[in-house]
Amino acid sequence: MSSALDRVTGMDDTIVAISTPYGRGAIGLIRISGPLAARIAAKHLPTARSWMPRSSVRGLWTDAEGNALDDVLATLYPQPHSYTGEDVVEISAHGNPLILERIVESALASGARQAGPGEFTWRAVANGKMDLLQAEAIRDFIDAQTGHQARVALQQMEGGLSRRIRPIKDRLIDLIATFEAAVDFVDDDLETLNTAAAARILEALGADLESLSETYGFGRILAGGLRLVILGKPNVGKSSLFNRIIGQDRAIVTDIPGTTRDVVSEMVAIQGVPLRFCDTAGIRSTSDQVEEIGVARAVDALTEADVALVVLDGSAPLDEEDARVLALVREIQHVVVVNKSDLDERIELDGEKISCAIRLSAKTGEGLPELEARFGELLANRIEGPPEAALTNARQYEAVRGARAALDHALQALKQNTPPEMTLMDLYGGLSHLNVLTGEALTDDILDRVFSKFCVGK
Amino acid sequence: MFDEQYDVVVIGAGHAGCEAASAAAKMGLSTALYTMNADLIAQMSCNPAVGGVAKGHLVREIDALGGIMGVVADEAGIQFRLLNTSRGPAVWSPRAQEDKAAYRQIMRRILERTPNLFIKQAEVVSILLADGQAVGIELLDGRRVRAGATVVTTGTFLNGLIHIGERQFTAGRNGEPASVSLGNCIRDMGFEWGRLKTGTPPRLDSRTIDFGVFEPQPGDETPTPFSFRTIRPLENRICCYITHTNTRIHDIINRNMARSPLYSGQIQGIGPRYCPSIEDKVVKFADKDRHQIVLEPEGVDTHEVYVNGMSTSLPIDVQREMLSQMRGLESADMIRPGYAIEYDFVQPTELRSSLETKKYERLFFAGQINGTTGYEEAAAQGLIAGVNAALKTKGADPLVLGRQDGYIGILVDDLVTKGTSEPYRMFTSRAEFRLNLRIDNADARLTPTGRRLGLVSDEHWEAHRARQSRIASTRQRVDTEKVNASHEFFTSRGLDVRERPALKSVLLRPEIRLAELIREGVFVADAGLRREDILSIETGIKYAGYLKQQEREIEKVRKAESRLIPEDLDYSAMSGLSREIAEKLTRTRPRSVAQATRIPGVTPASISILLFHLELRRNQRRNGVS
Repeated sequence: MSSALDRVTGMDDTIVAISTPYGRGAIGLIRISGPLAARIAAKHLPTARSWMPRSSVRGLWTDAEGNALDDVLATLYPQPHSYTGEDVVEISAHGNPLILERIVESALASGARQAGPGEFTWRAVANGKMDLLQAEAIRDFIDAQTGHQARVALQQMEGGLSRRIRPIKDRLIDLIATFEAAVDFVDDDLETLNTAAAARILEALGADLESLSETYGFGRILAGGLRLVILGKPNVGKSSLFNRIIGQDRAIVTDIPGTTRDVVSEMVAIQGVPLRFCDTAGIRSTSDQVEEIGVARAVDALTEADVALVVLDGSAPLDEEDARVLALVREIQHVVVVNKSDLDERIELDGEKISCAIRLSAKTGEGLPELEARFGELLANRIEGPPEAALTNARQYEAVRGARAALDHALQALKQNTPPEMTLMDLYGGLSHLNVLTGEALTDDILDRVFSKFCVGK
Repeated sequence: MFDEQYDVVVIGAGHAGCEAASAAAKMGLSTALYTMNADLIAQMSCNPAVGGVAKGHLVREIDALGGIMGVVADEAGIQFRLLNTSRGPAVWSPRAQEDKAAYRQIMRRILERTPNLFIKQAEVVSILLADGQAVGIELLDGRRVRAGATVVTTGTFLNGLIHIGERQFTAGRNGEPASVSLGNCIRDMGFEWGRLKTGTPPRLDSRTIDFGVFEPQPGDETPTPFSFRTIRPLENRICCYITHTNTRIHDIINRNMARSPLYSGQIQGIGPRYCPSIEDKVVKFADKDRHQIVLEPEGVDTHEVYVNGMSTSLPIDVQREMLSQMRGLESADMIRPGYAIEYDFVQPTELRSSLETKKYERLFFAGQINGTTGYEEAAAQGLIAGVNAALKTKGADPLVLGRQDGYIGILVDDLVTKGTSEPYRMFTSRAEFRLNLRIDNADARLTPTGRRLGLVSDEHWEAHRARQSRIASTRQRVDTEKVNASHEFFTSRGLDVRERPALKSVLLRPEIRLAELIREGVFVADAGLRREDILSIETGIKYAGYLKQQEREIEKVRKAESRLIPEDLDYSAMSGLSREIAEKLTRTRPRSVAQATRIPGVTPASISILLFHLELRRNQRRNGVS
């Protein structure tokens, strides 16, 4: 069914989506709106079984199997005093996109539906909570927070996506046309429906969709930002560099520090590059603690990092600790900066690894533009490497999975000799999922295809 | 001022006009049916057949509503086939060869016996307007007839122009005059109009055909009637014959292409892609070295044979040459040549869902004037237009069938929502709820509506109720009873079933048919249960999963259909809508949000914007009142 129709008729459903812009921030907000909102929260969050309206409860959000997904804070806003005017549950979780996705998936499994773009705002307007102008302003505000370059990169990727979807869709429409011709032009001397050939096509389409859904991981990195960890021995100026980078005329998306991991994380767009800076609080506070703990935490942080930023102190010679930090990043993409360029340089940069280090001063800001330029290159490299088409959000991923499931069902139906007009229901189901991806509505082109493919009409 | 007066006037006594007049008269309104030739009422201009895939569904639905096409087609039918039986029951569809002369006579007899219905032979030259309403018609002889509502069902007659090779002449059908005055009157009324084209093949003399060389296409052993009311057994009285064109014929066509008015540019109207002329097939599918031809007798008392698949506008000498190259037709004599005809149609987006024009109240269009093709499509619209003309005269709300109610609903909705650029024909693929729109449940879907309107007679209604209760009681037994697993039916087939399995679970096996279980005595059915009843029961069980899935989709549409859009909504003032989409919405003026979603080019995002504005408007109204 067309997504347009869903907009009209889905008003009574309960919808769920990640409401913070994708991947930005240490805290991610998930919103559930609709009649089932409170019930879904209670199912996955035991502490939410009895709560006061507009007050928050904290606890572990579990999936259907009882696995804890994250430590979250949840708030119930009963209708009509909520953003949408319906019962709304807002869940604040850690900003890790993977965790947010899994929380959303658990809500989907409990009867919610993935919200379409702008659907919360639409409900707010529909329920008289907001007027149209406000709704448009909110969208503009959200849009403005994505850096230009990242947006372009995303658009390119989505362009690549539709280039990849189109041939899949095309073959599916061809297959539908073949089935339709077999149903509607029975008296027309057409070749009989070849179910074996149809099954082969369905298998091939299924494989294509499968490989497309595997691109979801990379797309998520881009949409969520590159995760960059700042490393360095104590007192090299990590924190001041961190503050310098995030502190000045940057689009700071969120400033809520993480609570469970002792990692301070900020999402910044530098030259349009979405970067998530993680300053390991552990290292920061280990100056008077056993060194191993600091190193262990740095290792932990590195496992989730895309890029490491190693900070050295230019006013002091390299020592064993520096060498240890440099050894840690050997296997991962990294940038080395030599801080304190405002002081006399006493460091010797002869090793190959650090020859291209950037000299800067966190104190004066000297050298920062060079660092920013390097960040820009990092993202460009990342974009060149991976497949040109990638799924960048849960909505797309869900659509591809949905199409896959529908085509699998059609394949089963074919094997059981189900009549073609029923198998067609599955094929159309798959097509409408693909239409969600390309933003097109189902049109008459099935009949066009039949007429161009087959000589029909007595 | 007026010489005569009727509640409803119908212009044209073709398949649309007959249904329209019959419906209005049955609803108790004095109805005049105008035709240029009273001997040619319900003439089949083209092939001698009714029904076919999707078209057979339309006939069933017309019949279920209390229309007359099914009854006439059964009585005049001379060969019956149920198509698509190798597919699922949702796309089974009846088709029948008709005796053309009998069809006309039976239809005329039925119309003449309908109280309140008056057949009139006269040419209508104009529609009389006053205050933006149609108030009557004017005849060629000068009489003016007042009408509470006027239904125009003029087929191919509006400015009809026949092409045979290089020759062209005005005609409504070959041998009958076109409606030029009325055509020009309608052109001047300000509608968006255009030209369409359709064609028909040559008719041959059966005495000059060697049938022995063809593959016979017989009727079904047990004919399936169109009408739920046809009880008497039907009989196959003729056989059709299948043959094919060959490359010699294709060469002749290619050689003479410059003489084809289709390719010389002489014909401007757009023809149907699914019913192409033979020259079209040869050009567009050049890789095919043969095309199917079916020889269909036009009746039992005539030698005339219809050459299905050879529709053409090539010159007569070329038609002759083509036929001479076909085995069995070498010396065939042509009674009538094939020809193409161009005619005026009005873009159906000019119509409301009731088939009343948006520009003029009390004026209704049905059939080919709306850009459709086919007897069945015409009749279905005629029925709807006739009902709504009657309701309009009575001052009642119009009948609008939904897409989930039947093919008739789809037909009308497609036309008024999307318009058409070629002659529109029904296909099952147009039905998004195809599984539910079956021939076996057309009565359950529509007969109560027909009864409410006054189209369904007491006798018809009683038969309907009896059938529904037979189905319900048997269905209940099937749902609850268990069968004997040691019955020979299972043992002889080596079927492994549990001890005393539920009948319903046995029926879920694709290879087991209810009719068979009854025949073999596994299940003892109530006396009086008919073949059709068994089919309805079985389908409900076997395809329950798919039907349920569809039911959920139907519910969505119902909801969206119930969100009505005020007629005076100003789309151009709607912030956020692109001008292009605002124009599309203004042109179509959808009656519901569901209909708006179906307008080509209207995006999901623009539907959201439309919903915003509808909601805002509602809030403003609400606040304004309180």
